[in-house]
Amino acid sequence: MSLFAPQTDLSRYKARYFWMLLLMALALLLLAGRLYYLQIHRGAEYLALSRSNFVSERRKVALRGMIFDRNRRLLVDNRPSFNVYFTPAFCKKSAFDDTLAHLTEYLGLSDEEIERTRDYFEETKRLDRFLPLLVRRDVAWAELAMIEQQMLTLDGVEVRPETQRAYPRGRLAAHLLGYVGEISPAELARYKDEGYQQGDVFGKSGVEKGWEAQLRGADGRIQVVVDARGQRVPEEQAREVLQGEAIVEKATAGDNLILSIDARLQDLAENRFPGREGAVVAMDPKSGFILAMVSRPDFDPNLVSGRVSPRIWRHLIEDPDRPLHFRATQQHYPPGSTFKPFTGLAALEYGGLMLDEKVRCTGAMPFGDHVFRCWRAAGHGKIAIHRAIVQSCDIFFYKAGRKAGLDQIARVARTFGFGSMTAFESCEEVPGIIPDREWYERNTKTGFLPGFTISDAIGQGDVNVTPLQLVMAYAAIANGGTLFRPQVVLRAESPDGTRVRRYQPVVRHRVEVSEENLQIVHDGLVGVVNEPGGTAYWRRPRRVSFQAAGKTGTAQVVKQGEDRGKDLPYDFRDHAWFVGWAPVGDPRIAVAVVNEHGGHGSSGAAPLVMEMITYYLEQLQASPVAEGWMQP
Amino acid sequence: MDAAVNAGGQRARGGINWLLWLTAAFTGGLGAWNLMSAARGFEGDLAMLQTIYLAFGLLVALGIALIDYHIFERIAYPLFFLSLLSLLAVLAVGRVASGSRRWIPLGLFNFQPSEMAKIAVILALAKYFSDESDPPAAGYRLWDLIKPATPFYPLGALGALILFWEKAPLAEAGHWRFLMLAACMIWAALSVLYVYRVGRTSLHDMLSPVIPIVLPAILIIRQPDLGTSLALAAVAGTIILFMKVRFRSLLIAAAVLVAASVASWYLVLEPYQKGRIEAFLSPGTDTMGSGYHAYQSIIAVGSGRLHGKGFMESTQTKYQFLPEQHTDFVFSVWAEERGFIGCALVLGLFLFLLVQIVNIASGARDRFGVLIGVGMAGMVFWHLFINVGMVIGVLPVVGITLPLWSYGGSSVVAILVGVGLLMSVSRHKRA
Repeated sequence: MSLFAPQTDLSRYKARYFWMLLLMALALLLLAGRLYYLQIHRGAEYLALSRSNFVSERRKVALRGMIFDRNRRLLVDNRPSFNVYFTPAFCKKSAFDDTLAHLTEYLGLSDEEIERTRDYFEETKRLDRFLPLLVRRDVAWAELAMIEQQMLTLDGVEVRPETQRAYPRGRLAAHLLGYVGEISPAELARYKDEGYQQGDVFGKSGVEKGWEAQLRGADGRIQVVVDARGQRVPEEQAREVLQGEAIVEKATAGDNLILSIDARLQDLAENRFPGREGAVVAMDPKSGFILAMVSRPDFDPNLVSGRVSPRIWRHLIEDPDRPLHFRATQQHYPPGSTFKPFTGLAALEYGGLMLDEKVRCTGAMPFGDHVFRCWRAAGHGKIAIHRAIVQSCDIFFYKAGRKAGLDQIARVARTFGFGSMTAFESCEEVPGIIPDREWYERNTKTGFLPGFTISDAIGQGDVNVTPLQLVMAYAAIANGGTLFRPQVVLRAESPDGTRVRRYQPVVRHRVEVSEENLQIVHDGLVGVVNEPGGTAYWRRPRRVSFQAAGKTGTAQVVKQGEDRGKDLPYDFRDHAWFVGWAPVGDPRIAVAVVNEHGGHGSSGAAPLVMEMITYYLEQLQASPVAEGWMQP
Repeated sequence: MDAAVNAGGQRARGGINWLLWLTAAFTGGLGAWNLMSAARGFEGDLAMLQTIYLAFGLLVALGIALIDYHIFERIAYPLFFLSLLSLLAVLAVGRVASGSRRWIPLGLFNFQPSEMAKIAVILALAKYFSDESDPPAAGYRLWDLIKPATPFYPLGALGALILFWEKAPLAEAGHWRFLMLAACMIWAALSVLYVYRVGRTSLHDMLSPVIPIVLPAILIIRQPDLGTSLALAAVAGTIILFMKVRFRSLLIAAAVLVAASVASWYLVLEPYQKGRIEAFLSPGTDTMGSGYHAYQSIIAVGSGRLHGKGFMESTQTKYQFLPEQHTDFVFSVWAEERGFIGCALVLGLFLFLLVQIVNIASGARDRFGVLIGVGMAGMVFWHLFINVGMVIGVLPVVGITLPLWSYGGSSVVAILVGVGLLMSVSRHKRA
């Protein structure tokens, strides 16, 4: 055995010890070199990385501005809400399935939400993984309690107290105020430069959309300390690490908006609206500021802002009456007889019609192989323009229209703002249609035919206007010829009240008709309400200190039928119009009402206009700020 | 001194090597201190437990130092066999933690046989080369090392086949499994026939230094514990290389090694292991998945800069960005809290330990003692190099401990048993 035999080779090993030690020392030197590189050469960089591991800079979302009516009644507010976020960076791959399963259990996530969360986790890369995904907005208390209890099994999940848009008055002025929602991919792509991020709140319609930039405010930034699971560490520990740098940039709340509408008038208009579908626009004829704006059917913006149940959303979208559609600006209607003053003006201006020039109305007027009828089958006899407006004689305006010619009617209509958008800053609009000869050449197979002029002259045919356009045009008649731009925001104020921006009335232009002719039409419209035989005479406000003026309209939905009784099915009944103002001579309010399928203008629309005017002038103006100013 | 006294007389010539013992104690103490920070957030005081393991191990080392290490030459093979049995036992009854079956529960504590197996392998290899009557001065040839004709191979292959029988990659091989089984059996029969024909062969002639590497490595990989089996192979390889291998044989061995690693990629490695290697080969790409450990570890190390963040101030630990800081990634905590200065100090300390070990080897009385020294130097060096290399991102993440630093009684005691052996070798050194 070698144990007892001398081993003679030990002396050969000397060099091997040397090499062995040398190699080991070199290897350790290599490690030291790498350590030097990491700790000294790139140390600062890794220090920053380690810091960014646990110091998470978060956006402090600015409080969205509140919205008030002209008397500082609160219309739109923010309320506290708890939102659940998920940050992929703080969830390990192995833990994700469990986390998602738990979240699904606690929150009842839909398949769509599960899919979205999974995609976000799997497809977000690198630093973007530190951007949290808003999983669920505005969770209920019961859900919140469960999540808070199970926080340790929910890697990367976090609940942040934030705010939720609230509309304390529910449906009141829903279309005008609009609603908010999560920013869509398209909006995000368009406004990314302005600092929007996925999950942000964004105005979707109405004032919320039109004034997004003012309402939004400026987001701030704060730093928080989180551990590897994305949980915030206790406050005192965090303060020690951050050394008082927690707030990087303060958030500035968005501007509060003070609207020109009066919530009480708005409320009246909504409650007393006589029909199922239609619109109301009330405004101040001397400034163009809106006083009330209604569209029926309506919706509750609380249900569509923020967390929207898919069932409610589908219901709103699929409803054939389109409750989200703002009929006051986005729907055009044939104006019916409310258009007659403009035909009359065209005849006076361009057709050589004289104030006392009489036309014989026999109740019918043959033209070509067609007979055009007056609404009054017995006819009005010999009639001049003043009484023709008062009694809304169709035959007179057929002839006046022919005298003026279609292009001249269109010219007058356009100077009153029809046929183009009113440049209302707060809501989307449609331009309506004011046809002229060229329009017929372009849009009909037959091209222009003289019969078209006759229908268009009384606001049937192809003339289409929005309720907003109509009230703006009547305001111009009422105020002596100034066409204003409609506005609804009186003031934008910074939340502390230090910065106030007042919006002044904006004149679009003076209408291009002579003052005498405008006066003729104005007087006719006063007669409609105040002269016996006027179509709205029986609707005139009584026992009041002012006079109102206006015009009825009954727009046919189906082409001049023989039988226009009340027994027609709902969808074939006429639209009722009334547009008017008061007081005559010193107009302070103008109102247009369209009541779809509401029948006659005098019964289906005029009562509401008169009621609003009376309420506004007699009660609101008498006690303008009776309820006091609500402080924000 | 004449040879007879050298070989026969077991009289100790040197005193107890207190320097080595104290160096080990100091290194271990520093490690336990570091654990106070690294093992925060765990139930129980791991630093205290580690200190107890350390004290126990140091006593064991002293005890072994007093024994003549030649006793271990006699029982090296039985010890190795016991070690194999314990590795088999761990596969049968071991406790599973984080996906691996590595521990045998022994009431008060869990014993990790793979740590002791490293010492057993060093002893077995030392014994084997000590038994060589005339190691070739020009170096071993592969053929001499492998000795393909011994019956241990077919038996080992048979065992390995059975161990891995239900593993997915082999299962996918379908009927090839049965062909392999048949081949192993025929090979075993032929080998036994060979032994019978040659006759009168000594045990040593039938043994090969490859066996003490391959058998435990297969058992440990099966746990799975890639790091420990790699460390084992590296330690054994150090001893064999020290005994010198011919250059051409080295080249061939290297080629086979490359081929084997490629094959193991498909046959042996678990998906998580592959992921870590992929993450290492393309750093920074998968910092949230397989590359998470390496990435966070590098951040921890780098952010320590020159002076470190200070004791208990490691934010990576405090906010739990770095899992397993108390075992495989202790050094990252040290690097973060102590900075480059602290790291250089620890590397220097280990180098000092290595110099002492190699010095003991060079002064050993016989080849067995030399090879214990070489084996222990290899063990300390490879663990240190692979562990720190992994922590600082120059090597892929494999589970491997930092000697005397990583939390774990088996690992600490195994190293200190080795230290005891070294002290015994030192005590019985050449005159």
